[in-house]
Amino acid sequence: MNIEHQATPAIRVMAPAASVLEARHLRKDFPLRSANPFGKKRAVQAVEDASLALVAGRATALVGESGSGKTTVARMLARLHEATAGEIVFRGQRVPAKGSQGIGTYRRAVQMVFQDPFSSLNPVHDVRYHLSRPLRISGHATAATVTEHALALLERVNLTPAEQFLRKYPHELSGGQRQRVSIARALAVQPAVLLADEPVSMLDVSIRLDILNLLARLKDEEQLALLYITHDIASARYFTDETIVMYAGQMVEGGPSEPVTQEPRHPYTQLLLSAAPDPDRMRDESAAPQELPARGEIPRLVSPPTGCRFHPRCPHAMPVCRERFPGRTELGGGHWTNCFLYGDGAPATAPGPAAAR
Amino acid sequence: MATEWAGRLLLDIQHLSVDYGVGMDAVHAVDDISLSLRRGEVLGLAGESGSGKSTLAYAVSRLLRTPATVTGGRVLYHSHANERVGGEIVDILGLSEAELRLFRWDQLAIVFQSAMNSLNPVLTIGAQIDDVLRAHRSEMTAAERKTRAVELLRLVGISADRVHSFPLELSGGMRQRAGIAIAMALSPDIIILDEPTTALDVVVQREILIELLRLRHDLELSVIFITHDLSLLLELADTIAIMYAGRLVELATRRELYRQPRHPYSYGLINSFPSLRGPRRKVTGIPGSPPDLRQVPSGCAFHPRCPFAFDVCKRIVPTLMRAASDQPQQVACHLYDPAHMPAPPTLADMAARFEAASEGKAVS
Repeated sequence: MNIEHQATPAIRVMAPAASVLEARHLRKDFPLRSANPFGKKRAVQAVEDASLALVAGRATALVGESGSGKTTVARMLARLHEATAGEIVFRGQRVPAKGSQGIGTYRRAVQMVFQDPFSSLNPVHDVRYHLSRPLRISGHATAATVTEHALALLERVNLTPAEQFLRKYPHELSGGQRQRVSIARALAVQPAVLLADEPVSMLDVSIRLDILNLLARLKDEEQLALLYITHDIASARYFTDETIVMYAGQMVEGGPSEPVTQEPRHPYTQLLLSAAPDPDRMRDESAAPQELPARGEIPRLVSPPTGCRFHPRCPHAMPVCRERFPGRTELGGGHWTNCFLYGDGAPATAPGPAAAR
Repeated sequence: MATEWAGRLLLDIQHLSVDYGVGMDAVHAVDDISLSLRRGEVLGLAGESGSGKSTLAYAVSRLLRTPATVTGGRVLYHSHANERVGGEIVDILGLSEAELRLFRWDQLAIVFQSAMNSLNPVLTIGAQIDDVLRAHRSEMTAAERKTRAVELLRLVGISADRVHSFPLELSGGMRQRAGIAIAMALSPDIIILDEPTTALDVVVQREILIELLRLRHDLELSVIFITHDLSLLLELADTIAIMYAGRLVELATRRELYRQPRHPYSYGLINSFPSLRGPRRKVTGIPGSPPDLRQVPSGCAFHPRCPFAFDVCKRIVPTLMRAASDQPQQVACHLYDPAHMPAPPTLADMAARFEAASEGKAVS
């Protein structure tokens, strides 16, 4: 595939834009039920200290394998899970707890698109119902204008002719079409933030890009702050401005997508990239499959490894990695990592060891 | 068939067709497919949901249940193809139940996508391997079976002390490996892997693939690898068959396919994966969605989504033929038929057409 049909929109200059939604030091423990009431209380430590900022008109990717805590972060942002610790700041204001006043406004502004389009639409209702409910409840449309608004939404997600789709039921739609309805439903309340949790991973490969390109276009047109959660780092590189990599509940590396995917610094990001399918490796014509720098899987999070949770698998692990989690090291240009190989929260002075590559 | 693979012919699928249901309502899940597999070859079957790739594998291993029926074709297995040319040829589709019992697992094994969930939860991994050996290798002693179990686990990268582990004590990746170990228990010639790594994380997937390639190399195993992830096949398969709506649309070596996909669908599928390296460029995927097999479009099933479609495509089903007279790469597309098209499209043409199609498209 050496053809370049069109240059991607140039990566926007990282202007210090104000963030719409910010997560500060979020932590989530899921308590485990125990048969012994006097036993030690245990919890799945799903997310430990997650911070991120979403900016209007920009897409941020949260990349990780299953068990990395990426979905938990999104669910905390959507207020589907209450964070154990940390705070969520929306347009400069702390978001109140679940059930309190003012949460309705927040919920309207922060919408989620789920992974499974086959179970996120109600099978007994048609598309009109799915779109008119949020339109009416949010007060963006009256009984007289609701159809008009619904048609406009369908057109925005490229479901045309819109009149036909209005009457359809979920079972009459393909996976891609259902996901478009889910996106239209999220857009109905005119949100500022869209949290897309693996929006394409259950779709057929040939239609995934259509949905991603649609999300990218909507992000630009509506100036949405978009969080894209994925396990596919190639798609993160393809359409997001910023990429954050999570491992076992810890954020290990982040920054503008290009440097994070092209010059990964954290050993886990390097592992993830070397494991991703990449037909372009064919260019090397090397027949022998390359060995992975590390093996194994994400640990169980009931009793996660101490310190940096990647240390049992890390080829560069040092004694200090076992003791505590390193601070964030700035690598320049907004690129950062939490790894002792590059420092411990101080500005990077020494470049990383060559062995890390 | 058109492969550069040098090994002896092992499996020869000839004009295989499978229907679900009968009569007017029958769905043609696999429609007149011919493929061959040689010793030591990795054959990749790629396609989207409903392309018939799994049905094909089930038909080859005789696992189809009603309402699925094989309506035509043969699946010839050349036994001992490694020892003498030709050898004994059996039609798998004609085997009796008793013969099938001896054939399956012994010569051909299959690992499913959910293999990690198909292990017996109340038996240890060792006991499940022991089970297979006791049923099929009655001459082995208990000690020999135990040695073999440990050996098999080591083969797929599981340490020997895991013999006594129950499936729930193993991670998803380990269970999938155990599934492969059980499939390998009787040293089959052919192993069919149906989306073996789809439910796994990328790092684990890569580990298992490296393991598989090593096994293929060490044991001269022939592998049929079924997946929707074409980018994976481009890395590991020798030959790649691309299916669409039950038919074979392209058959090529991975290098040919990577260098120059001929069928517009193959081109679109390869370009559905954003690249990890090189310049970032816009990719478009394919407009529309895979067809409903109950209402397959007339002529070439891909024509409603194809940016090159012309009137012949709506009327005549294209047959597999050489893309160019000097190449083994085969494609089922009217664009390569000199009777309809004076010159086949170049890669640049494909790129331009797909780009235009994605701009003006309506529904997917």
